[in-house]
Amino acid sequence: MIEQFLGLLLALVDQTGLMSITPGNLLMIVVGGVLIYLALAKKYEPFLLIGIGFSCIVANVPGSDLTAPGGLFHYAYSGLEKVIIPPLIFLGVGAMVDFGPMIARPSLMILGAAAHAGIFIAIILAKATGMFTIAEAGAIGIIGGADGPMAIFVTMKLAPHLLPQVAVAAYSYMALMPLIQPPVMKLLTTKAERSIEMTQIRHVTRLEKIVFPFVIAIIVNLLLPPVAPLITMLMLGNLLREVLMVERLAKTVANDLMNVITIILTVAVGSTMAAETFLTFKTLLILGLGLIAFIGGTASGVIGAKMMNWFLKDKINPLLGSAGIASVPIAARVAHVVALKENPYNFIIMHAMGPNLAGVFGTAISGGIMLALLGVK
Amino acid sequence: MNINAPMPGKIISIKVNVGDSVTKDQVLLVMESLKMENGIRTRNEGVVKEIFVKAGEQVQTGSPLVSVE
Repeated sequence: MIEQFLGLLLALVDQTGLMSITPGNLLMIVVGGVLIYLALAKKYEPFLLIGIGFSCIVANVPGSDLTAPGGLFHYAYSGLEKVIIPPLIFLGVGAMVDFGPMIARPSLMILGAAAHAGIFIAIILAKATGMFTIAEAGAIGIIGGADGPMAIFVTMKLAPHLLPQVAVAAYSYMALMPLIQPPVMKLLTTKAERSIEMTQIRHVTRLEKIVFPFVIAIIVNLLLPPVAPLITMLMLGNLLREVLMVERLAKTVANDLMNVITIILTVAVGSTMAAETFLTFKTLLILGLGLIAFIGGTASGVIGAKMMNWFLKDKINPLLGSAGIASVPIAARVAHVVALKENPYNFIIMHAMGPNLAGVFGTAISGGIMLALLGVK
Repeated sequence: MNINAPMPGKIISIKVNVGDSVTKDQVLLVMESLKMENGIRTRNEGVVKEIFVKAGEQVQTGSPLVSVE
């Protein structure tokens, strides 16, 4: 009787995931827990990390078929695989952001380019390891663009098998930018430079803001077709915002749609973090190279701003350069916080939004050039 | 002298009343911009003469916030 009961119990346990759990699964559950901790206790990008951390934990609990083809999380991943989610995020971002600071001072767009040296440093290093193809190196390099949807978009085109690592590195480092960037910014600037106060930016007219999305959409479709889906949607979202006549649409895109897509995106990214695909030496390398790309981008942005000051009569605060790395508006906020610590009257956030928004285009241009050079459409 | 909004945003709270004496670097009000709260301070000591805004109000860059004499 007891033997029969034990046999039944074992058969029951066998049906669950308890017998299949591996040390790797346990490690990844801890990783998911760390992401949740950072979101809740440290308040690092909770909108991203809660979903990623939760689905990472669930994806590493064997038993269900959530992440297998046909499973619920797999449908979320399909949104990334078929490159539907990134353009929709760009639509929402376009409806959320005011490109006024960038239009008001177009010279600061240089910083959006300067802060992308990290991408190319990471590509060179990745190729130098001999462990990655040039397409894989390109996907790794794009982590340094600090633009999650763009990183997913480019990776799906160049090396889709690296999506888990690239997406996790991009989103985790974006969330950790308040920790990663300030030491680099302080190392490369003096207290006096960080204290430079910026003059008020000029008023940008409604007409300028309405014309802007048309001009950018036309230029990108003409010159950078590989990344046109993202930038076109970004500009459509921005047009909805700036015409001031379809407020209902702009608000829906910027809030409700964006929230829904954020949930799907974070679940999709987290669900790719299964131990068997994630816990490899290449993952460690990719995470390391991604970090180098972020640090390199921050440094090159600050150095670019300092170089601009060689030619400017009214000096700019070099911290603005670090915002050129994209990741709107996280990088602008970091620059603002570092500047405020030196001078409580130095509110540079709107100035930092210029290079920050230009950084989105910088990443798009870098990604577009990579895709074009590698013959990917 | 007027203390103006250094950026567009929403007034979260006002920390002083008309007639209050304020010291250099004291936070007069808190405003939110791009989901960040910022303390708006006075560079001079004096007395609050007028408050031009209310909590919850949206302001643009350059909008007068508080007058300190």
